[in-house]
Amino acid sequence: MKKAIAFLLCLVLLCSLLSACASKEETATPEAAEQPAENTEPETKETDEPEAEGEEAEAPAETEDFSETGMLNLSWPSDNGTDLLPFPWSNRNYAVAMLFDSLVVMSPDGETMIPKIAKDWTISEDGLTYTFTIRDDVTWHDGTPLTPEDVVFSINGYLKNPTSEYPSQFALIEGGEAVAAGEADELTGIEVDGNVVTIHLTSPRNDFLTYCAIVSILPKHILGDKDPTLISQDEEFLLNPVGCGPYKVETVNAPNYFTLVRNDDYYGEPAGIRHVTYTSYANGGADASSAAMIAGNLDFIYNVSDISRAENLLANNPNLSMNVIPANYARYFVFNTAGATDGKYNDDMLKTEVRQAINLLLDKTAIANFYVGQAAPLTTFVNPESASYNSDIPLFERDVDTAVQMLKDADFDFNRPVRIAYWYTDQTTADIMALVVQCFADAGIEAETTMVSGSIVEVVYNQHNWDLAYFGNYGLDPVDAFYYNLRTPTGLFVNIQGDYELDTKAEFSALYDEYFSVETEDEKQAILNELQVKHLESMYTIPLYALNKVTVANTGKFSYPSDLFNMDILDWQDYRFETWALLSE
Amino acid sequence: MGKYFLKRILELIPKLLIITIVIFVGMQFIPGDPVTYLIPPDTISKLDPAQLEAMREKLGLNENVVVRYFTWLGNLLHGEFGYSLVSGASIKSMIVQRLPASFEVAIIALLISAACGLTFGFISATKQNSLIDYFNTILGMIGISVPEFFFGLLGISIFSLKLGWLPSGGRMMPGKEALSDRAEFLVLPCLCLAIGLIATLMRYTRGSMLDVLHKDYIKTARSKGLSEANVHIKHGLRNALIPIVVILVNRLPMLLGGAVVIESVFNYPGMGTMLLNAISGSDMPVVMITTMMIAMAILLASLLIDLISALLDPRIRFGKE
Repeated sequence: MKKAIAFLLCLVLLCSLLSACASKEETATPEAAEQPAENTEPETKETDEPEAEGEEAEAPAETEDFSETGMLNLSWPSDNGTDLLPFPWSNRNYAVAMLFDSLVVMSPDGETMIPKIAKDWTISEDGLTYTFTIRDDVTWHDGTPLTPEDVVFSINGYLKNPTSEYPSQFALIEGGEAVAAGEADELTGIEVDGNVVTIHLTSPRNDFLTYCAIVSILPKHILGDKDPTLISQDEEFLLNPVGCGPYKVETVNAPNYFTLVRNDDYYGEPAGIRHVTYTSYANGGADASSAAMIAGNLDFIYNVSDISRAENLLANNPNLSMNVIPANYARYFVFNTAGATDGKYNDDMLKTEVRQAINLLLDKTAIANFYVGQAAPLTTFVNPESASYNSDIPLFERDVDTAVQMLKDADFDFNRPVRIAYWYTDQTTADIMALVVQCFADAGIEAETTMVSGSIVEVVYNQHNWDLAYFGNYGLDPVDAFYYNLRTPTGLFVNIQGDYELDTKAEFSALYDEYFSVETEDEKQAILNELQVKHLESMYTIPLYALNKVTVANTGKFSYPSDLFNMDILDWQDYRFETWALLSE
Repeated sequence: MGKYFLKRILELIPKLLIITIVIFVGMQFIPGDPVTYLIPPDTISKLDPAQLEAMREKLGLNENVVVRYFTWLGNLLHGEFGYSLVSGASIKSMIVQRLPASFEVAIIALLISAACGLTFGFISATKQNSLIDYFNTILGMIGISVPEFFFGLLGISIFSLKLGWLPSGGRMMPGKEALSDRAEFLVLPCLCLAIGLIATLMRYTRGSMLDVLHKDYIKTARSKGLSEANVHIKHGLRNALIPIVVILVNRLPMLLGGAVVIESVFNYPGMGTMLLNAISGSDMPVVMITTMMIAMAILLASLLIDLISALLDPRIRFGKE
């Protein structure tokens, strides 16, 4: 009897093992989202909605509108955790855009600026003076009228707070550098006269108005007495933020969720959907938000980590749709040209031919392929598919033999290792580093990769015991995002670039400043072409790949402008919340 | 015995102090910096070092480590838990928000595991080598061997995604804050956490019961004519309980410390993930307070074990005879 039972149990165990090892069909598990799609051809579902027409996504005819009674479920942006609401100056995400307004916002095609708190503006002929007329019908959520002093307070505070996303543009305001360095309290280049705010720049900047869209205006009557350096951590304000946007806070139940309700006193068009809930997925991460999306409890994910995850979501919930946004985000290597504090610097990095050879060694296509269907290898920092790409520059092709010959001609020491630092903790980055090591090995060079833990400022910039570092950056304009670091070094970059080839960097600085001072697109393109050429000649940085963003939305549940994700300008864009609608509860 | 326990309680204070010093010193060696944790790596290169330094200065991060420790200790003795360096939220409010979450999952899981583990273990021991014993043994092995996150993912897949009976994660949603309304959020986390505990308790109960059931006093009890139920429960189980109670009470610190894996799988905002995030961000004040609470819970659990052991076994005496 006992033997029979034992035999039966073994049989059951064997059957279980066999069924577990059988090929797995698609299942609706969050783990399944981790598996790359079997079809590696990226069947990117470009949005089904009509493009670039500003019309709402197609909604079924005669659909009942649940915008007043239903709830839109979004994910709590957790850059600063989920104990406090998102701080508006660190990242103008959709939660911030619902609560706060800025002077202007960008049109969906990126061509024009739309008035918001500023009802109109003028720019002087020399591009140095911006004059904004502030609306007089804007009120804060607590009923207090918004005044031009709030605008002045916000711009000053934006410069002082270290978590502000794009401070460099505002440092161009007269007195800006002193304020940013903590040497002055107030900008000297801002004046208020009635409801007119006038800003004086030290040098022309043709995208200054664009970056005014990033700065959410905050209430001086609430935050005026607070330390601007620590406003980003102000518990009192961030548990009950007072903005002037189309939504206001209804309830906060940190760290679970917070809800917003339409601001009925909004000066502009009222928001379409009355109630919005932001639920935290910080503890469970991408798996938790994926599961919620499949279960229909989450209606939108911005920037899904990889396209295979997005495709899995679509396969498990027919109401979902995906958008791939060509993004202005790229990863690249930066060369350390200032030496190392541990005395082990590979000074061959100072040779231009060595840097160009290392560029040729890297298999950028294989690196980009780690992000199946989501990344494109780069030759310059301008996406080759973009009209701004300098077509005189041949597209990158890996050439190990030429690279090795160039290294030999430059008397490169093949016995000295090349040290590479990186700090992104995801597995894809680890895989990329392993591939980079192999690329070097193909040329007979040992490469050592180190993941930086601890203070990035201390390890990367102060100690700088590396030869190459893996950076990523994002910006509205490739010149601002990527050619910024080729100029005469400032800030933290002084530590890793030192006084190496300052003449060349001065040329980059001049081109950079000229790019942002000219008026026509043709002039800008000519300068960009020159920047692309000079960059490849100097090779202070190696562009690797551009990484697109993938959004997934429950378009069976809610509708939004179909052109909202045509371009990666969401942080600057007019979200047009007045056109959003709920199609189901 | 009273003096013994008073002495043990007073001993907690220096032990806690030593633990705080060890943790504080240990944290100095963990690489990390809350200021740069706040700022995305992609934007650090554009920062002004002077601003970063000013922020570090204002957060007190540049002070001598000894000064920082005594400042923290002084504030703690005044009842000020301080603020998170990363988010700025008050640590007291963070704990108030998360402790009940960890507590309710852990206490329900402990109650389920105690009831089921003791029952199954008791049945297995009293019906040794029967079909039900073998069945329980297999279940116990599965419960111990298979990691709890697997059960969690399986539970989400079946009950949330396929059947739609239960939510996929979280603790509550708008309009469902009362315990009765959000009970559905507790089902899967509690059951998954309980599975491993049930398996462990079942095996220990079975082993302990089998050991006791072969003792002479059990034979004596039977020969006196007591019913089997009386023999097993009154004489057998009670004596077998002491090691089992030790295991149960040792799990009590989980009430405070949370269950990190379960909290991550079910997106449950508890103490475990709070501590994990604080360590990642080098958020020293949060780490110090949380680990001190866990250490206190462990020390109190140890004291509780002694007390319960004394209650269960009159032979155990403490202090002078």
